[in-house]
Amino acid sequence: MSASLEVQNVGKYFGGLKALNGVNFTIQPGQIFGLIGPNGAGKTTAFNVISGVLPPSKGDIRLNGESIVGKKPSRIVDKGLVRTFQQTMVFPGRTVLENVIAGAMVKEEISLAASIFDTKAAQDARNRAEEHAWEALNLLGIGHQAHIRAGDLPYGHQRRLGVAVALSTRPSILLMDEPAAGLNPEEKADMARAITSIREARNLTILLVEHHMKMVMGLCDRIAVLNYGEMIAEGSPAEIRSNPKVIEAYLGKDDYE
Amino acid sequence: MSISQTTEVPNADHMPAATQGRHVWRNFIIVAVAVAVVPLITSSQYYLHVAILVLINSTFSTSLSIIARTGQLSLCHAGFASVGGYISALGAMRLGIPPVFGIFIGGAVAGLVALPLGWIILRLRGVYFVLVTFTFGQLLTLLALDLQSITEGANGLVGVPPLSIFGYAFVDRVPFYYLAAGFAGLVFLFTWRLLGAPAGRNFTCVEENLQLAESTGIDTRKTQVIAFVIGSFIAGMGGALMTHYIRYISPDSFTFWSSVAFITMMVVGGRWALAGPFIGALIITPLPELLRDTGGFQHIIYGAILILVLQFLPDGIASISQRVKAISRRRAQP
Repeated sequence: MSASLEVQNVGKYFGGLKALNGVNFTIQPGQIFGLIGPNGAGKTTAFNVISGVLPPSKGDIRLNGESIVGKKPSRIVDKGLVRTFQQTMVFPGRTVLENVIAGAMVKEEISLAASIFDTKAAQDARNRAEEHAWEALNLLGIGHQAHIRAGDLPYGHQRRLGVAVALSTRPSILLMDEPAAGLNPEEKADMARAITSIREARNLTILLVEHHMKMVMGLCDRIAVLNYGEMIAEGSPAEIRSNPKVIEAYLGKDDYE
Repeated sequence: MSISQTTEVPNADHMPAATQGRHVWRNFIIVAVAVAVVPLITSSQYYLHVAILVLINSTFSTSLSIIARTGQLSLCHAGFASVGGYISALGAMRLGIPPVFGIFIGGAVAGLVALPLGWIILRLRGVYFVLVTFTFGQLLTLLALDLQSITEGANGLVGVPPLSIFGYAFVDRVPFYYLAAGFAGLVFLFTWRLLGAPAGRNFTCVEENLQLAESTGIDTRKTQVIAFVIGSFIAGMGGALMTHYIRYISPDSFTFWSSVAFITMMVVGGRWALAGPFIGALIITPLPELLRDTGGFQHIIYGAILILVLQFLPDGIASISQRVKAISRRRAQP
C-alpha cells in the first residue's frame, strides 16, 4: 500500500527567498502527522504548496502514489486531499447545513441540464449529499445548529463547521491549518476530541499544522519540524520533545508548556 | 443522521425548498396574469411599446444577475445583446434564416464569444474585470461601426424582417407584447431553476468565498465561465428579439450606456432576489421617457438613483418587503 502523502524534496522560492527548501516527509494512511515550527518557518507555505494554491518551485508531491503537482486546488480536492483554513472560512449567508451540502455536492457528478430540470438523478444526488452533510455535522457535534445562518454561529462552532465542510467532500487526507487558533482552552479540547473522533470514524489521514504544543504532542503520531524553510527534525512526539535542535529552534528554554 | 431533520425549520428565511418553490410559482402566476391583462387595459400603442421594452429589458437585467451571482460585474452586457442582434438580423437579411431560429443563433454566437473571453479575463477580479469588459464592449461597438461592408457602419441595418412563426408575423404591438412576455417568463423560470440547482448554488459559493469554494472542490474559474456564457447567451437572444421588434439595429442600439442601465436595473431592483432584476426593469425602463424634458440630466438622475438605493436599500427594492416584515416582527415581540 502506497503512502497517503509523500512530500519529496519540495522547494518553494520567492525570488531569492527560500521559503521551503528540500522538505521531505511521508505520511502513512491513518496517521495524524504534525507539522510545526516557529513563526516564519514556512508552515503556511508548505500548506499552500501541498493543497495546490501555490506551485512548488521544485520537488514532487504524491497523493496515494499519484503526483498532484500542477493541479488546481479543486482537482486536488477531487483526488481526496482537502484543507481547512486557519481563519474562519464559511459561506456566511447560508445555513450550516447548506454550507456542508456545498462541499458534499462536489463528489456528485450531475450535469447542468439534469440539475435545472431536477431529474431523478439530480434529486438522488442531492439526497445523498444531504445525507453526507448530516453525517459530517453530527460527527463534529453541530447537527443541532444545522438551520442557523453560518455567519451567526459562535466562533468555535464556525471553526468546526469549516472542518465539517471539508469532511463532507469525503477526503482520504485532511490538511488542517491551525485548527485550535483563536479558540479558548475548552474549545481547544473539544477540537482535539473532534479530530480524534473523525480520524477513527473515517479512517482519515490528517496533516496538522499547529502552534499549540499540547495539542500537537497529544494528538500526533509523528511530527516534522520546520525552521527557516528547512526540515530540522522528524520523529515521534517523544523524540521531537527531546531533540536539542528543536528545543533550540522552536521550543525555546522557558515557554514550553 | 436522519434526513427528516430538515423538516424542522422554524426560521422563515430558510424555508424548505418545496415551500419556497410554491411561493415562487404563486408570485410568478400573479405577475404573469398582471402582465397578460395589460393590453386589455390600455390600447395606447405608446404604453404597449414601453411595456415591451420593460419585458425585454428584464431579460437583460436578469441574465446580468446570473453573472453577478458569481461576483463579477460585466460592462459589456449590451455588447453581447448587440452581437445577438446583428447576427440574427444579418442572418435574416443576407442568408434568409428565419428570425425564430436567428434568435437562438444570435444567442449562441454571443455565448461563443463570451466563452474564450471569459476564460481569459475571469481570472481578473473586481475593478480589473469591469474595466476589461468595458473595453471589450467598446471594441464591439467599434467593430459594428468599422465593418461597413457587413454592418452598414453607422447607418445600421434598416428593414430587419419581423419575427414570424408558422407564417404569422409578429408586427403588431399586442402579439409582440405577448411574445416578449413569454420570452421574459421563460428567462425568469430558467434563472430560477438554474440558481436553485447545485450548479447555481456554486455560483453563490464562488461569490461569497472564492478561496473556500476552490478548497471545497468547486472549480471556481469554470463556474464563473459557465455563468458568464449563460448570461451572455441570454443577452444575445434578448438583443436579437429587440432587433426584430424595432426592425433596425445600429452601433447606437446597444451601447455602454445600455450596459449601465442594465446594471442600474439589477441593483435598484435587487441583485439577490429572483424578481429583483424584473422590478428594476419595470422602474428604470420608463424613466428616460419621464425624464425626457430634463435633457442632459438623465444620466445624472440615473447615478443619483443608484447612489440612493445603494445607500439606503443596498439589496434593492425587492428587499423592502423583507425589511417591513422584519420591522413588524420586531414590533410584535418587543
